[in-house]
Amino acid sequence: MPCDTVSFLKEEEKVTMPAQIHHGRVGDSSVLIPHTYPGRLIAAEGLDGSGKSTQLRLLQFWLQSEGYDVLIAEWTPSKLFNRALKAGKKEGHLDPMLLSILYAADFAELYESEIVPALRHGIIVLIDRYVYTALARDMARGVDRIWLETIYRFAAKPDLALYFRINADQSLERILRNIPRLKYYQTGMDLGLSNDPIVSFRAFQARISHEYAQLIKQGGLLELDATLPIRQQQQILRAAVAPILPGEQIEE
Amino acid sequence: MRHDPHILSKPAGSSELVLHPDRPLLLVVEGIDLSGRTTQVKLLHDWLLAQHYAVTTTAWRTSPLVSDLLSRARSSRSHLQPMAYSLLFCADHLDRTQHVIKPALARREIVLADRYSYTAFARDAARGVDPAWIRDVYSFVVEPDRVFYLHISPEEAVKRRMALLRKQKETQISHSSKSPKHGSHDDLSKVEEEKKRVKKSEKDAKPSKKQAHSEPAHKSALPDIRTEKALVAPISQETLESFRSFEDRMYIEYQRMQKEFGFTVIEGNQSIETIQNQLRRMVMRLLLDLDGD
Repeated sequence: MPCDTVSFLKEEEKVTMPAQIHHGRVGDSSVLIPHTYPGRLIAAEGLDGSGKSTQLRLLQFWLQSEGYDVLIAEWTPSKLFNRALKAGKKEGHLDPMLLSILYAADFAELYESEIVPALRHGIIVLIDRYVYTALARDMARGVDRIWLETIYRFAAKPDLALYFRINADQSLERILRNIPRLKYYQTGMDLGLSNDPIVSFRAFQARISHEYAQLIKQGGLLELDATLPIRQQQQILRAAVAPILPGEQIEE
Repeated sequence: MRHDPHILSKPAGSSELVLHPDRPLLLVVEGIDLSGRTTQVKLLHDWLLAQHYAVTTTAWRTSPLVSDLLSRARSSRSHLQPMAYSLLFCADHLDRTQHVIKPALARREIVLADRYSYTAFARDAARGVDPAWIRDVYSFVVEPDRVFYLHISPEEAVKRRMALLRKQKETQISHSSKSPKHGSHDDLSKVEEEKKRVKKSEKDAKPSKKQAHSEPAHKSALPDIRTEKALVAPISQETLESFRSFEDRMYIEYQRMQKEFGFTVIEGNQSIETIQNQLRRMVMRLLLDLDGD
């Protein structure tokens, strides 16, 4: 679909050029402050099963073949965090705000211990799920947006943030193909949307998808059609990444 | 420490009246490590109970969710990063705000807090976390009616810590089975001042030990005082320096916040009894003012 590619390129110009000018407005996802580290930060966002991990791995191979140091980091709940979830579930204390701050603590740990040191060393960090995941998911749980943005203010604005777009049905279909067992919080069962994990998962993904759409509208996230063939997505991705690489002057 | 309000409202075997303040009252006791906070809060709690007031005490890091998590984090070899710690402590406060503080205030009780968000502000600032950020993150807190700040100098904190470690060492060596059980707190005059100081130190020691270990900023400099064996180890100069330097930084933050948040300052270098009497007078005045409205 060449049409998608064209609209994508327009988006790219919007995102990579003036994004830094309007930061600091409350309620705007661009409150994230650009970093000054020698490394580069590329974030992949999207619903479960959007194929972002596959694309990041392909991107890693390409970047390494171009001679760059690359780190892939994935924000998945740590052991510690899962213990907190368990304890919280037992106590019946885990409402959305509390859940949200535990997620944030988990992310802060990953951010401070892995992402920042790598960026400091001039490494290109490909992060599978970043702040936008938290914003979309926690807002889908009804947590106040301004408070969320406050919490995540410590995280640097990525040099490039991609949203791999699939809809809730596609997400469900892909996730069921790979991981047959859905987890309690992943399916949003805590929200009481449905007693059926699959129905709940779909409804929760639809909400998250809606929140992502809002984030995309405000800029900062580059939308990519994740239903395109893998190879084609990768070409688009490389074209988007090339201009932000350190020491590279890509002629348009 | 959580108290079931139903038990409080209906003391066993009595039909005594339970007093409620005219409006909910949230009182905070703050201060650097070993300033005697916990002792004073406990005495105040018992006194208010004796006056038939409905009272709930909540202490720093007692959320079942997070205290377990933090002790697990401490026992594992990998220490958490400053902001991750900061957010976990915030989760503790949020949990207690939602499940202890707000419900107690809704029942029109007096809520006593042994440390509050100010402790987080001081610790985070001392560890280099952005003060503006942490204040914004804690925007959910219930504003206290009064913050009592037990002021001791960092030198005094170091002195008390040394005395405490020495005392623990002696206890270890003599294999003393003396349990530091407290008598009636309302009968202050009967208890010898020096003994109370020691007991107080022991009481305060537990949280301060844990806290010391939750400080990743100077984790390497601190000895392993979690284990019994380490308790009897001699106090190294390095340890004291590290403790002192952290207490110094905390102290500076508390002094700064004293103006920022309008703390009521109480000199912590007085006898337990004197401090408690001052606290009781001020709390009584608050209660009477409210009653007179």
